[in-house]
Amino acid sequence: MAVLQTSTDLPAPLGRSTRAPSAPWWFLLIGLVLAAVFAAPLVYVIVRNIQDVSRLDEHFTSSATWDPLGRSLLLASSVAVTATAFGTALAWITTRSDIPLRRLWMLVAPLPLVFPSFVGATALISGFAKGGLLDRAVGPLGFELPELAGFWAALFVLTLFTYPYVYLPVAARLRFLPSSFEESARVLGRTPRQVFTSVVVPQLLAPITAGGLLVFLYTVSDFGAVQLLRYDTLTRVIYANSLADQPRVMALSLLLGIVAVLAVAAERALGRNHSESAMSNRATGLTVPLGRWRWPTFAAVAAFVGFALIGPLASLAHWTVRGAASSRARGALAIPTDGLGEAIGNTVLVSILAAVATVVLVLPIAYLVARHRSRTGMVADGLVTAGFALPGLVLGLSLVFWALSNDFLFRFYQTLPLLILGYVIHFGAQANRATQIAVASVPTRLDESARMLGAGRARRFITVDAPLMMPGLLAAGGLVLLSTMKELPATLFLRPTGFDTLSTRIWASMDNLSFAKAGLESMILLAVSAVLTWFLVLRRSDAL
Amino acid sequence: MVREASVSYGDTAVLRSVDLDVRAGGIVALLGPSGCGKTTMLRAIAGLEHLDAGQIEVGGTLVSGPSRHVAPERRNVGMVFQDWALFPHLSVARNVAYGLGRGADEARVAEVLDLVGLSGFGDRSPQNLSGGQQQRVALARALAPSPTALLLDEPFSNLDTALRVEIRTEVHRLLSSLDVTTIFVTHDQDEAFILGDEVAVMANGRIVQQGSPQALYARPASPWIAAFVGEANLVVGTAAGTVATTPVGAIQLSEACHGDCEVLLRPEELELAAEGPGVVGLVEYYGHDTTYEVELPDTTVVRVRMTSTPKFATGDRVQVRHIGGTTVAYALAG
Repeated sequence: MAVLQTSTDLPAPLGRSTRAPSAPWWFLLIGLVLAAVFAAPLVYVIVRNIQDVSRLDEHFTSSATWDPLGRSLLLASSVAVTATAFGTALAWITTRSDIPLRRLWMLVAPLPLVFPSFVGATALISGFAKGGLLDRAVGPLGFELPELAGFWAALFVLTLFTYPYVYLPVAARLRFLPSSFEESARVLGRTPRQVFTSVVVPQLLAPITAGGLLVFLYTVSDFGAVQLLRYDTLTRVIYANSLADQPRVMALSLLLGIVAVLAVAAERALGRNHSESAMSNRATGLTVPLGRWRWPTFAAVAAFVGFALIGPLASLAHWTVRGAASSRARGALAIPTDGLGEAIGNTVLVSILAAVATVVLVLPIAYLVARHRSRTGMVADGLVTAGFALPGLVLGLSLVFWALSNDFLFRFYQTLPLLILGYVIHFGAQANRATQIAVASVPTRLDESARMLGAGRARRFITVDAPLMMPGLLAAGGLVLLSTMKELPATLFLRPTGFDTLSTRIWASMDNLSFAKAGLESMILLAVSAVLTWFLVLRRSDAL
Repeated sequence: MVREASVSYGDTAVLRSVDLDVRAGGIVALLGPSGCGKTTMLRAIAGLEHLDAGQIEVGGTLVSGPSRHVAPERRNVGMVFQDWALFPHLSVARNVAYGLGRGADEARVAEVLDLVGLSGFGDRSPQNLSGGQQQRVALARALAPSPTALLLDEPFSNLDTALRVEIRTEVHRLLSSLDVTTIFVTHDQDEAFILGDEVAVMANGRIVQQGSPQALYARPASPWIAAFVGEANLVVGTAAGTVATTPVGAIQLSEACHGDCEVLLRPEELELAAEGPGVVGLVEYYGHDTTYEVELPDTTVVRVRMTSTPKFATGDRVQVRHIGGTTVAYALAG
């Protein structure tokens, strides 16, 4: 995840101290305006709290505030610990051990990433529910399945769908760790176990902590899963009060925002300090034989992946098939599919709009950072990151409250532009990283070369920069596209009335406990995003 | 052409009040060790660096000055970068046509490609060309818009040794026939001497000497330049007017000097004869000549180059004689 270093700490070509070309004033101005846009929701939350400062005291001395915060922190820390444990173990097993079908596990392990938390929760809740897949499997044996709700359920569900945030960086590090480290430790007389603790683990600390912090951030911001699993974290309390008590919601949002911003800041600070040591660029062949643990490990990994990937998919499919079967029996459709086509269309539409808008808007900032190394650019970059830290729920609510209180903005209340703006602010940071890499990938020499041949700024951009950056920009847009498709709370608050996406339909179906309908819609959402994930993220995960 | 040009990065002065004149149609080599500011100088002429002081004229037009900075794209100066900086997404022909703007003249592209000996390579992609070919494409691209001046940044440093000599000769032939004002940067003395009508030696952000290669070699302005532009024995001696007494005998000086001094004796201006006070310490046979390292009785060590197969072996006693004409001496301070 230490992606930003590559763009900001680029070595000067050939060790010469070449000055980065300074940006013209109007370009800096664009950067500042964009920075202001990305910072707007966060600033609004802060300003609102300052305005209602007299009541802040009341919120911040009440257990109605601290209890949900405590639950949020407890859940986020617990999920971070379990996801880190499972993610790291799985990474080691799939890259270093002789577990049967190792390559298959390597391929499958990151896939639960495609489940948005609320879809994952939907799948597992419906699987545990009466008539669900798991209930049918164990019911005849006389087992009574517990209802999936509360802390343990949230811990279980969120761990299953967040461990890839740890798995991916740790596996990448392990795969490229030069085997000479371990080999020299062995030659110096250490046993394999000692080598693991004294050589391998220290090398993994950076990706483990970075991944763990991401899981923490994801969990603390999560709304869908905790709402469905009825665990009262901050996000759930904010949602419950969203229409009733604006000042209280803003105060809680500020708390949540502070926690999230701290988590992001910690992750960034960490990424900057841990300069990666030597990386070999070829896969190393060091394999540790598991011996008699080989098959038990296999069983454990299979069970885990079963719960995280196969189980949820099977559960969704099961309900879909049941719904279809019963509708055939009754001669009428039990799964109402009216408006489904429109929802798919809407999902694709907003995702593409958000992807294009985000890339276009972060591009000037990426130029300021990667090409001009401008201070303004760095500030804008930080604010884009802050936009990412703000949970989708808080972002959506603050834009809604703002629109409701401001005559100019009110014109955009519940319109597509405001929805897209919300996505842009929320996912700007994702596109920002990839876009900076794209900008940095065009050597400054080419730009200078074009200048020497008489090409002005516009012509240089169109003929040199744009074609060379295109793959990187597509990847950046792809990331936003994927995230937008799966985004729930911001969509819920910012969408125009009657505007349904797949996410909001799944949400509504779960509200009515229409498991079959939710199953079908989730399957469609997953199918579309799985295909896109494969093309845009996993296939290029080494480039990100 | 360049007057008192100064460039600094923060507190670090990279160019300190540099003056450089280039005759129209001439070829000047900027020669200096790495970090001396020669590339910055080139980039300042190109307009890629802003001057902090001084001014630059190209073809009689002020392009960089106290209150003036013509953008690089408006200077009509051609530049070949060290790594050639060919556009990887454009074909050879479109690379060459880039500087000709819209409605690029196909005939001109063909003409320039022919000039560099790459006719028929127009449709290729730059990545599929050899290093030497890529360099010629870069040259063709820079020449296509008929620039007022041509700038080359370390033009041969990215080529492997075997290819370098060959390409150097080709470029030499091309530049000699073109009559385009050229400035090129190099750290290689051979390149500078072969290609440059004039050589400007740079050190620490200043031009320390500018002149023809011959003048530079025979009359370097300082001991440092003497050693930088070729192999040099700097032998300590005592001068009285135009004669210096040294361990290898009396040497005629071209300029008067007095007292203790260092006398420049190029290895090829010395020769060895059998039987004498010197002892051969090392013999290096290069094929076209042989270089001996000889220790004289006062422990001075001199290198002597003779165009013959080795005639002496390590340990032989020899006499060192000066066979050149007049040379220069540098007074020793204190």
